[in-house]
Amino acid sequence: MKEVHDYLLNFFKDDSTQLRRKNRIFMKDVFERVMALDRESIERLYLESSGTRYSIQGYLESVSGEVADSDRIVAAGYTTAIEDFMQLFLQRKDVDESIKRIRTSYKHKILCILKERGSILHKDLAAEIDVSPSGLNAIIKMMHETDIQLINIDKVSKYKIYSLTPIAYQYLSQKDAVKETGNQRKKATVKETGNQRKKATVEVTPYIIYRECNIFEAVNKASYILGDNCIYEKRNAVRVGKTKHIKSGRTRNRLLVKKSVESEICNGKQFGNLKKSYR
Amino acid sequence: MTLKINDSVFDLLAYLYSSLSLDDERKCAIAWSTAKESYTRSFISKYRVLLNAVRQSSANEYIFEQNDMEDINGYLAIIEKENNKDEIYLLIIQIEESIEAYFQWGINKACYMIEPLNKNNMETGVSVYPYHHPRWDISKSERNRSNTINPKLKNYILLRREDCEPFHIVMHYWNDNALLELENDGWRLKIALSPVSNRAELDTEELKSSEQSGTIIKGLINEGEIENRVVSIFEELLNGEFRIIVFPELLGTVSLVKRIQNIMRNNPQKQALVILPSVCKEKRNTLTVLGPGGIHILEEDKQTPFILRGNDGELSREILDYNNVIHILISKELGNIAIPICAELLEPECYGVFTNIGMVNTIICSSFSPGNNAFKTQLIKGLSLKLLSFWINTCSAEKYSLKKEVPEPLFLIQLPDANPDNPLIYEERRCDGTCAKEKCYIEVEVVYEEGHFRIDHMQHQCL
Repeated sequence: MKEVHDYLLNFFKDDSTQLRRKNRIFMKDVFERVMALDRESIERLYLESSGTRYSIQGYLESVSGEVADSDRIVAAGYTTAIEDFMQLFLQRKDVDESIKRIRTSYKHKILCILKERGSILHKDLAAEIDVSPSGLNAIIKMMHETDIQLINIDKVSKYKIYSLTPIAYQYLSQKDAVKETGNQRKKATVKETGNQRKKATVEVTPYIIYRECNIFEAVNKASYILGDNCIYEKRNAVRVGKTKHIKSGRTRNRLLVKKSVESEICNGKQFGNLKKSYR
Repeated sequence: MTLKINDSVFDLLAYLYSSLSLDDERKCAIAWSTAKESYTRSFISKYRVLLNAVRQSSANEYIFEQNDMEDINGYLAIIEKENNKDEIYLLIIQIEESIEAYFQWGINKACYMIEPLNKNNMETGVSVYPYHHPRWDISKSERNRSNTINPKLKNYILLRREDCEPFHIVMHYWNDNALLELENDGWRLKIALSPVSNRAELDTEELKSSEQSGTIIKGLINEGEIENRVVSIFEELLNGEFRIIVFPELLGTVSLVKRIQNIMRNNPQKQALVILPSVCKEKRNTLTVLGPGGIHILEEDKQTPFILRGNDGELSREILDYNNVIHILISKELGNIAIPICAELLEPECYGVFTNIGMVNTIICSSFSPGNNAFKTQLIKGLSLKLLSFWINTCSAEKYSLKKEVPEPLFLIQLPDANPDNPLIYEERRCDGTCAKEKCYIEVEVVYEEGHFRIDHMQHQCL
């Protein structure tokens, strides 16, 4: 990759040709770094290219009210767009990283509840996620140990009110892959192999629970009901409340499919013996 | 109170805030401190839809959707009818915390004068501006004990026109992180303060009438010499990678501003905030602040004239055309920055608007003053507010001192967590009275690490 000084644009010194050339190099460099999802390198580039931003503004100030070189004006707009894009990218990645770093299994449930309910008292949130009020303190503390704050905590009298920070709200609004439907129960009839029909009970909450005879079937049903674009939680998050493992064998199995911002497509390997790819 | 199409969340905030007085804020804060759970819960439930509409408007830069206008105006009608100040108070706080920080949605140029975010500022007398907390711990600031709304807000401040009177605040926004060098668990700030020289001679004209006497400062007699010296010092400081460069009052010229600006335009990669020496012309004492690349950050006129006692014991004041406009720079690193010119720092009304209304966190003050005791006393007040303050004077002021002595110390630094027994940092001069031939400046490195401030390096460069 180029060094920053190779394309630091100086709108007072560089001529139009130089500005165009440097802009193209800059754009390609940004593109490569974004494709590589190299957040640190983009941040470095953004900081080091700040001279360009100031040169643009200084130039625009100097020609204000006068007839300006149109090539330079176009170059200024082009460069500003690239800089703005980098800033937006960094902001989004910061939120991604912050959420990933939170080490509590309740994070998605809490974020979803707050998105749905808006503001909620401490006691009420604890009841929603089925923990004690004192237990919730520890969870919230873990969720607060991030560079980007995801939860607002307002103290009113001796009570705490929680709500999503705007950045968390924005993030969840954009990342939700499955439309929220609230607490509903749906019944779906699915055609089995051999023309046997079985009923699947589907609870659609922040979690979707499928009760089936084995994991294969459960994943199959989920895929059928939610469509090919549904996504599944990773293995270690497949739990229902405090149940930490899935019962094996032919007895009832519950596959918890979370509508989660971190859900990833299950490629079968996550579930050991699964051979099919549910994409 | 009704919102129109294309009105924003900020217009809503302004309407709500305009219905509260300072006294109301205080009463509401005290009332909520002992609120019952059921009342709090019913408040949340009552305003859920409104707050949801606020959050959803984030997709449209906080302009309300047309579909939501009926609901919102319905809420406003209820609020107006019930006139429950307690609910209005908490609603303002809840709405504000639902809005992203300005830089996350309001990306614009690198630095610019920012209009109030609410269109109804004339109608309501309230202006909404972005705000960033400074990059140090202000949890023990006395502002947190205040019963007003602004210290409780996260990303914005609400200014009532009547609270600022007789002044009018103009805000400037700097959308960058150019000042602080981040280090492990903290940051470092390199700042240079230059007294420039003891050879500046003011071109003054005395004005005497039967009612009052005054001094008009028309500029510098030896402006060429002083200008060259300032440029020379500046070039060295710019190459030395100082992030804030401060010159004293009255030693500036119009051509100096242009020269410095051109140097900065040719070096846009050098990040520096430059407080130029103020320029006296046509009864105005004007200070210019330049940013990286020579961008014009702000230009302000001095609002508070100095008062000097002459050898004959007569008092004379600086004749100034002032317009009661105060400028504040909103930064993402040092919070709100005030750049008062000399006596402005000492005037209680001016200082009060900076600190109580404008929520300033950093003060950088340039002076041309024969004395410094009043500045010491004033800067110490910043401790309780956890302000970071810098003050610079010039040796040239000795000519206006009754004792014809250089007012030492020439600079003062107040750190937010300074020991109250030793609140200010300064050093005596090293030049022994003979002004340095080439350059004179004080270089300071302020470090903030693990929640504490220290001065890592401080040296008077006298060459």
